Amino acid sequence: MIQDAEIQEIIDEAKSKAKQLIDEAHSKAEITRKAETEKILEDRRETEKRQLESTRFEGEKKIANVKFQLLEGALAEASKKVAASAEKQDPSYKRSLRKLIVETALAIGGQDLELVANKRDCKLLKQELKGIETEISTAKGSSISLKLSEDQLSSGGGVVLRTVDGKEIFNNTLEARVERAKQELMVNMSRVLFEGNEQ
Amino acid sequence: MSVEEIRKLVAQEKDHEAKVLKAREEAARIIQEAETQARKILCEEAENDNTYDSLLKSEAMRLEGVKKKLNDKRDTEIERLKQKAQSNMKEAIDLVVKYVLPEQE
Repeated sequence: MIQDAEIQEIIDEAKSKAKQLIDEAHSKAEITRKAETEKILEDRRETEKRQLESTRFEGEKKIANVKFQLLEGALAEASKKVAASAEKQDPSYKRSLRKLIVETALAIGGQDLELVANKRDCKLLKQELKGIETEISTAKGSSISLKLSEDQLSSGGGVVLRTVDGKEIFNNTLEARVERAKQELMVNMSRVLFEGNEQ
Repeated sequence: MSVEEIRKLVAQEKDHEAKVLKAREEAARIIQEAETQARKILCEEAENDNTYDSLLKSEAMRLEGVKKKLNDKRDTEIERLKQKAQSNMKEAIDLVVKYVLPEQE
């Protein structure tokens, strides 16, 4: 019986060693699998981060382009409306033109001033010139001289006001004003256009 | 101890040694088989591309899903902006017209 026990011990020891070898192999395989999986996932996370950043950026760019096009559309429509008002020479256009001339004259200073306008507005301004000159003089508190230049603009409307000596000049044509509106009103327009009715 | 008894003991001893030898051979076979199996386990793991391919495919699909959600969100926002702009276009145009022609009604 003692002899049988010795033989059994040899077999048991071998089985135990075999189990240990296989268990170790499984453990090593599991560690390798985990490390490889983690590496793959880490690479994927980096790729994902880059791709999602790019997708977000492209999305923001597309939204900005759409906003820009809508704003440009509004500006183009406004330009048409302004041109139509000038073309018709409706009363509000006449009042606006007068107001712009007075404001510009007060801003640029000088006593001898000259107006340059398109052919159509020249006719209108000839009739209004004396009245405008008086209005500017009153507002300035000193007498000024305002005359209409023989030069004519090809503009759709509005005026260029300059001192006769040419030292100061201010472009208040409709095109220049639309351009200034573009510079100054974009933020406000964007708010009105895209948030208008939101509280 | 008689000669017969001594012979019997010697025979028993030889028999035992033979059994031990056989047991050792069996033990060596068991261990060798285990070593082969262990190598196989490690090799299979090293060549286990299918698991990683499937992991990569599933991750790529998930990413496409997230990108689609982002793009859908962007398209919804663009649609919302267009509708808002359509509703508020007149107000925006008037803002510019009023700036260009301050006396415009």
